[in-house]
Formats: sequence, C-alpha cells, structure tokens
Amino acid sequence: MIALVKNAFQKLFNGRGAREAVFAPTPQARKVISCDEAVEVFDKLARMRNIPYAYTQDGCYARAHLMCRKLLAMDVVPEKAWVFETKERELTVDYPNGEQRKWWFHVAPVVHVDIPESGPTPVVLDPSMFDGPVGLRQWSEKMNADISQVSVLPCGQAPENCKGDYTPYDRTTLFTDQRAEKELRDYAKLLEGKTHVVFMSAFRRKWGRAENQQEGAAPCPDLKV
Amino acid sequence: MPRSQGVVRRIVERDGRFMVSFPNHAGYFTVAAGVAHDALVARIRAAADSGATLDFTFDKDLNITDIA
Repeated sequence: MIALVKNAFQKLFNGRGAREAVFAPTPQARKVISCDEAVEVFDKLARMRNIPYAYTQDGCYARAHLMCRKLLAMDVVPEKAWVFETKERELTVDYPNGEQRKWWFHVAPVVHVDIPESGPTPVVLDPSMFDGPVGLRQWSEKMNADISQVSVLPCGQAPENCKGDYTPYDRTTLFTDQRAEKELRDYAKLLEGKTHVVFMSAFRRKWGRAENQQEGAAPCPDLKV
Repeated sequence: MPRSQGVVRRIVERDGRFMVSFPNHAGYFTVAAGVAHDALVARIRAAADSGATLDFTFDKDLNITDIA
C-alpha cells in the first residue's frame, strides 16, 4: 500500500505524469504555424519580462522552459532543440561586441513553421542569441557546432544519454516553473543595465512581414546568414 | 552573489585558463583571480577526483569566488 502511494506520488510530482501535465497542449494548439506567426510569436517571447535575455552566461534551460510554457499558452506546440559539446567541437559563441560564451550544452524552444516550398520546418526561437527565428543550421553554426550535434525533441523528453528534460540532469516537475523563475530572477540581478546584443535573424528578413522586419532587440551587424 | 552546488562534470584547461562545468549549469565557470585562486582550483580538482559536491558562490561572469 505504501509503495503504491509512493509510486503515485512520484508519478504525480516527479514523473511522466507531471511532465505531461506541464507540457499538455490545448485541443486547439497548432503543431505548425506560418512564417508571419513565427515572427510574431518570437516577438512575444522576446518581450517576456521574467526572462533576462541579455544574461547569456547561463540559464538557457530556465529560459527554454518558460518560453515553452508561454508557447503552450499561445496555443502553439513547442519542442526543444538541444546541442551538446563534443570532444572535437566545443560550444562557443563569439558575440560581435567581443564577448565570448562557452557552454557545455544549450537548449531553446522550437516550433514547426510552414515555409513556402519547403513545408513544415523546425525553427528555433532563441531571443538570447538572435533578433528573430532561425533555422537549426544558423543556430548551431553560431555556437561553432555542427548541425549533427543538434537534436529536436518533444518537451518532456530527455536527450539521448541524459536523465533530464529541464537540464540534462534534471527532470521537469510541477515545481519547475517556480525554479526557473527564481533562477532567472537571480541572474537578472547580475545584469546591471547590460545591453542586449544579438545576431540578426535571416528568417525575419526573409519571411517576416515588412512591419516586422526591424523588430527585435538591437541586432549586431552579423553577415553570416 | 549567487550560490550553487554540484559535482564537477568536467575540467578544461586551455591557454593557462582553468574552466569547470557542472551538471545543472550550461555555462563553463572559471575561478576568480586573486590570492585565493590557486586554493580554489585545488579544491575543485580534489572535488573532481573524489566526486564530492561543491557548494560555491560566483559572480556575473561565472567566476567562482568562494567555496563553502
């Protein structure tokens, strides 16, 4: 009896049941959105006040979690793009302002976008790096990674050889929202009015409506698109 | 300053720079320059060898400034 109760408790608070509940889409949630919608959705995520996007040293897992929750609230089904360092290729980002970031993994939300002549295509929404949606190749190249290092998985599913779907070592639970918000609040205190520097999104320039072309946070001149 | 804890996942030393990663942080940490630098590095190495959990504080650039 005790084992049954314990099992039920674990399933509810720390198991698959919790992850399914946290990432449950509404019946009307869309698995594929248009290019315009992708840009609009990106801009809504970029305006989330509880995410300090300018703090890029760490915290991608918390940002990704809260953005995925926001996407679900917008009736869009998100997935997550994961990239890991390898012995041959480390993840480094050289921002145009001279700052460098080094991560052992990075994660961001993905939505599937109906791109003309290509059909549904995974597109990354990562306002900490870009001023608009980006394809998997542009996203991975900015981290000095090969696209083969990237895996796109449903929210709640841990990457291969990992224990967790929140960080590679931690699973999503019913308390992950609070944890992510606290982690990002702590990081927001470290910003000290730092300017948000991002790369330009080729997707926004190519597929966004004219009025949306120049949205986004102060993009740096980055010519590799 | 933020505080965290974790076991050492990986140590990378390159061009005289000491970097360490932890399971629950995506970013690589370094050790703050100063009189305690060598002692902090030694404690991190020892924790990596033993698998012990480190309880540490860090600054905005992910420099480890103290280990409890």
